[in-house]
Amino acid sequence: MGGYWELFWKRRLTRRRFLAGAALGVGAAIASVACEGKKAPTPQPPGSPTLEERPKRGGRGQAFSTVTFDQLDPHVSVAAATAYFPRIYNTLVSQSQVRTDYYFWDLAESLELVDPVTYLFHIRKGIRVAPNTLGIPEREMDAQDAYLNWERIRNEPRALSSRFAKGFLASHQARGPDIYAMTTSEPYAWVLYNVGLHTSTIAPRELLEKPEAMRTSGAGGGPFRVGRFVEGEVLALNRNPNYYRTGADGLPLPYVEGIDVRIIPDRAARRTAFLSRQLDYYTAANRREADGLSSPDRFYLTSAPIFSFMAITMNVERPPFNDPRVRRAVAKAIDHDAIIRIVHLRDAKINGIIPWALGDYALPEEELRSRYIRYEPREARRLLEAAGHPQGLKIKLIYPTGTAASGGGDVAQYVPIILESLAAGGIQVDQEPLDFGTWLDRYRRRDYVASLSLNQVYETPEIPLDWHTSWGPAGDSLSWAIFPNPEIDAAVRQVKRTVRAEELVRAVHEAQRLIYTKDPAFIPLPSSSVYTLWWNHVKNNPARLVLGVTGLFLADWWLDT
Amino acid sequence: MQRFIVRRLILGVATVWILSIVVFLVLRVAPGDPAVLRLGPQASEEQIQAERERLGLNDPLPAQYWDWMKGILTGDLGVSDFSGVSVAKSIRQRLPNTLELLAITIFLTAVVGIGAGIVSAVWKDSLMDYLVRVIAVLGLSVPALWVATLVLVVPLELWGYAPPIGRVVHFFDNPWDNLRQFVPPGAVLALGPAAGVMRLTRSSLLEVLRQDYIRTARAKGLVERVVIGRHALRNALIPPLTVLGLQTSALIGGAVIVEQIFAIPGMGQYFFQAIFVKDYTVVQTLTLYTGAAVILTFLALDVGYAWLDPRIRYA
Repeated sequence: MGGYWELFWKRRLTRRRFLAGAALGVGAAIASVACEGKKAPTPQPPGSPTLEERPKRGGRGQAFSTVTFDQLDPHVSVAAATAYFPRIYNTLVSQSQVRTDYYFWDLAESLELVDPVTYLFHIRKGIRVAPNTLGIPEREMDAQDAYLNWERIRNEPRALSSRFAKGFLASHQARGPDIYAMTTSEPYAWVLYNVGLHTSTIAPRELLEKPEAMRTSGAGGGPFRVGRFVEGEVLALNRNPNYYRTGADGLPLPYVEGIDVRIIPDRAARRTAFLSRQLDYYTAANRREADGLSSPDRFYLTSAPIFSFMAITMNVERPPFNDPRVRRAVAKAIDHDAIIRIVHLRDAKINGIIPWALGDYALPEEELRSRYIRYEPREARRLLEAAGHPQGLKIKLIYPTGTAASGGGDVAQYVPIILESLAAGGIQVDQEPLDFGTWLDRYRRRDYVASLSLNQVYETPEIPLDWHTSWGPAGDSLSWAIFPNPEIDAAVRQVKRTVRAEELVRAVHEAQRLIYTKDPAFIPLPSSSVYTLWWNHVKNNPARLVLGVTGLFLADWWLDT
Repeated sequence: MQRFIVRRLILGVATVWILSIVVFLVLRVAPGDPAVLRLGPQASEEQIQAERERLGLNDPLPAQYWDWMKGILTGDLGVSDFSGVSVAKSIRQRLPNTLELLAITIFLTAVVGIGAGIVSAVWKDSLMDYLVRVIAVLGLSVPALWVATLVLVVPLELWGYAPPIGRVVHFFDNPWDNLRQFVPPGAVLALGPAAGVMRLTRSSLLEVLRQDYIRTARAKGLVERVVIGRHALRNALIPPLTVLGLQTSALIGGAVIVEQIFAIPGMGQYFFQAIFVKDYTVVQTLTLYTGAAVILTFLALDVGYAWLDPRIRYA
């Protein structure tokens, strides 16, 4: 599996559903409060999962990563380590994108919206930096830390959250030690999502002056501190004795002494390590494997939809895909149900422009099946004929080899199905399998006619919609895929500006319907769910809450060993 | 002999230098941009250019090469483009694991391969001979990848046993756990080479046993153990030893797979990951070191021949 994708596999582990409506989305909450010009009602601190028994203290969590960590810099790292930044550092506030009524208030204890674009974060007192060997004082974190971290994110071109910081963050400042203010350039639907990302975590300002130290170590106010980090072998996190939170029993968190994260690339080795109790959890290849391992007296199962998916991408700048009839022919010639049957062993759903994992943002399955996703090879042939290809068409398809597919399965499993169903629609495919690096490079430079493509985890509809715009998913109007259509651009811009939840869902639906009328060049394929088995000794597991990235911040799980 | 060694060392340095140029150029000619791989999909052009600048990829090729060689010549191996960790530090942490794995593999290859070859030759056409040969064919034909998976899965299914996975247990900290961790992958890695060495030892020994001087030794009344051990084996071992030497370099390649499967953070895994993410600094440096190691291994082999066979003299 591609190292890069570890990030996304990690991030999708704990998601199961996206609550209908997103009616309590923070955008709406904030916007409505803004209209009234008063302080936003502070959502309750995160409710703990129901404590099954009295928590025990001690023990070390045993986790794995399928790839080595790239580095521990929370703003720049792109690989496996990102999943552990919420354990080391603080976020201002993390709103679950899976359960939008769930907030993890961390460095900010409350939020005030002065107007639709001005956010005032009230900084919590008593968050102290963990003991460390980097010379970072064990002082209280304050608004200046938030300011300097966001300043770094804004000015560091490699920072993952820089897109938000550059695109929407008009200004920001620390108003004294207790208030951090952010002003966006326009109303923006996903401010809190970006603020709460694990790659937007807040490190002590002294650490920012030591970027070299940040690569291989760290110190923050999160529940754990960096213990041992051996590149390629282990990341050991130890309990932060200064951590400010207490559990439901009133005892200081975290309950466990630490977490050991080991690099285990091979699935058979991970499975063996799990079954021999060397790991606390194991992510099964699919539902069938999870069911096969089922043993209620030893394990319990958590599942979540996979927030990534494979897609067919067509380059609209090159013939034949500059002709919408040819794009529609391809759409009609893809047998999504065959992919569900064969790749996902019937455990998957079709994806429209917005994947089903994003709940109400996705168009209803009935609508998709009746209007947009229908396998009609004969209609495909007719469209090709109308487009001047009476004998059918031959296209070149690039795809990455030797890598797991986004959305479940393996890329190699998709290829024969795609080839066969397109052939039935009159489209012969000249395959061009490429190693991951070559594929990625060509895909970015738009050096392709068509591609069977991996995708990242998309937690909000923003980037799935961006694939169909003139600025593209990178926002630079240059990379990956461009679909120049002023109507779609306007609709997607409108979506981004919509902060009321119910309006947002409607706007996302309308944007999707509009995109379908323009014969999109990016066709998402079906995606499945992820199944994780946990030893019964892992108690109060946040994975059961299905909070997405927000769950990574929770530290009140414990080990009954 | 000394002149021979010095000449070979000089030749070796030249070979390594040419290797450095080849690997440097091949990496840059090969498609795929390390900056894109590093940042992943959805990275913008600005982000990618910033990363290319950081990695020095926008510098002219001679400048990039000189920067790298300057570091190598001054003992500074640089830092990984991917992790930012010093390459020298990573090598220090990983090399002992790979060396231990290779030592176990070579030990098992030599002991099992040569031992089984001797048994097979001495008791030619016996049941034991057939059995050893069948096992050798299996060893040569079954992929190490599959055997490695079986070695992990089968003992767990049958006896609930599993070796330590994903954490390195150092020999001096816990010898038993260390051997539990390293012997199974070592055995998997040794399977194919041991089978090859066995077949070669058998055929070589059978050839030697037909020589006149062996008949003479037997005629002198020497016991068979001495005939085999002192007279036949010393000559018969030259071909297997050559193969063993050649396989040492091949084992480094095999270690990539076995280290991945058994989650041993060794040089093979380091190399594999570096290639995957096009970590130029790591790939270049490791290739250079591996090349140098292979050259030294071959030199040691040549010296070994002279020791084993007094007729061999290097001018």
